[in-house]
Amino acid sequence: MLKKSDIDRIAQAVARATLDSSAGVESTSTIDSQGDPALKITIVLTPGSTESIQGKDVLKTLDQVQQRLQEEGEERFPIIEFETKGEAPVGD
Amino acid sequence: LAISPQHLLDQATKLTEAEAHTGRPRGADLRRAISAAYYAVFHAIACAAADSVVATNKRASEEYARVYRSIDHRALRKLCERVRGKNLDFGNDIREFAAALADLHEKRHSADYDPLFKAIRSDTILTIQAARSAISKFEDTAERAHFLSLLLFPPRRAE
Repeated sequence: MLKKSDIDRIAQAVARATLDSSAGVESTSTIDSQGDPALKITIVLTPGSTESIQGKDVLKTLDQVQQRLQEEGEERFPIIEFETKGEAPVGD
Repeated sequence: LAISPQHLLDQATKLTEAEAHTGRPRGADLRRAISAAYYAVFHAIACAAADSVVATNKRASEEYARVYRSIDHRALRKLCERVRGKNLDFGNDIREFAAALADLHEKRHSADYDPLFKAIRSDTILTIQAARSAISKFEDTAERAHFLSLLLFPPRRAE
């Protein structure tokens, strides 16, 4: 199980390489749909960048974060979310 | 095709649009959009699986529906985890597809059931983009038949 600082560093490095618009990364522990320990990794994007990011770049980001964490010995599945810097969740 | 992945993705995209009187989408709409994005990929796989076993001119038949309905969410997710592991030798397209499917599966579950789910428009838009690209990867790869054979006919475990 990697330390949070290592998880953030790896995810940040991938996001910088695969997306031109990564402003930061934040990770927390969570539980996945099977009840197993998992990671929630939030990639924070620069304002106005969402519409220009292509699906293939998102796929590459998901692929590379999962692979890099796995290579470093992390067994928890990373659920990757995106948000724009300063963006608030919307209510129902 | 009874359940069109493209129509589900179109629906998901519409659900991310802002409402006129608030200037932003509803959280409930973003939850449904995430769910529709996952189901677009799921139905693309189910259709491909049924097409690989039953002739496409028999899509209205019971045997076609039986194969289509045999695709199980959990088994699909587990296969994607195996594709991501070291024991199955797949190329980058299927590996990226599997990475997206596993992520979409978790997000769909959270969007549908988790009261603490945070509905973020940016995340929803990029999730739909990922689903669209995942379907393209799946449709274009030469390894699709190999993947579908493992999904439909899992290898026997040693007794």
